[in-house]
Amino acid sequence: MDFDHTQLDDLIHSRIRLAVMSILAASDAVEFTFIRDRTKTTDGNLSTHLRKLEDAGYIQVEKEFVGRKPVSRYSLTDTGRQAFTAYVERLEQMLPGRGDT
Amino acid sequence: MQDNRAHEDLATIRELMVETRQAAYHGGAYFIVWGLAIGLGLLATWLFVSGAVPMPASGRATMLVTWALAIGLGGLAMWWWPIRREQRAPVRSAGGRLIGLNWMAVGTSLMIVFFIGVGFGSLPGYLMNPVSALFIGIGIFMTGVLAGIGWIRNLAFGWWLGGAVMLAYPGLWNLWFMGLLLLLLYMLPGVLLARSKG
Repeated sequence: MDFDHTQLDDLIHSRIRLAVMSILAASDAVEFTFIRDRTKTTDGNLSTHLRKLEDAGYIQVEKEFVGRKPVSRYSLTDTGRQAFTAYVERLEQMLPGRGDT
Repeated sequence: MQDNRAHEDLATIRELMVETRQAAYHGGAYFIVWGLAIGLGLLATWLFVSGAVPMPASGRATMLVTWALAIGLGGLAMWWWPIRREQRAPVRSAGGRLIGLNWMAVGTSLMIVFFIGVGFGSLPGYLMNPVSALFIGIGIFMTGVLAGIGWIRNLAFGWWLGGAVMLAYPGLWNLWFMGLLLLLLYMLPGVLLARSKG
């Protein structure tokens, strides 16, 4: 089966958002700065992508103060986790010899 | 060509997930602080037991107070603000919490063995070194497994081997040997972990 992006969740199928979802899928909650450093993007760019995922109900944010420093922690919602799992399964099916019929 | 994209995406997903799981554990400072505290306890024990420093009270009471101070010092250092800040993992995960609980279980077990076993005289004090090495081996092994860091997991075999040697050949030299294990298989990895986290 060929790689057909139309079969993939558009919202996740962007390099940065896929990276964000992967990071969040491996954790309970992750700080903004960690996601930014791992995705090698800027604060503004990452915020835009995070907002898209948040608007879709895939992720949620919790803001708190640690000392005097504001910290934003992001986590996957149940919907987001299901969407990510489905996305990965779809990708795996697209690998040669593992295509669905 | 198109299949490559799926391959690349899956590889990226896997890599990011592994990195994130490892980041949930910021153990470097823990290893260094507790290594120093236990090291001080071992040094004080050697000074008293070898007779280099006269014991201020009975042997058992001196040891109990010495180790209560060493453990208290370690606990106090962990509450020291800069260390707490460094320890604050940017990633929260079940694995990270399990690692913390694992060390809490190891520490609690060792304290019971020492303060109750040695304190009540039912366990000879010289057995504390091999027993501690075996327990630390469990803690290290579980840490490596849960954090997904293979070389940390493998350090456990060094601790277990060291514990077995000390069980087979007990003596005053165990204190120095334990110190060596602590330095090479606990504090040095702590420094490496702390440096790898930037």
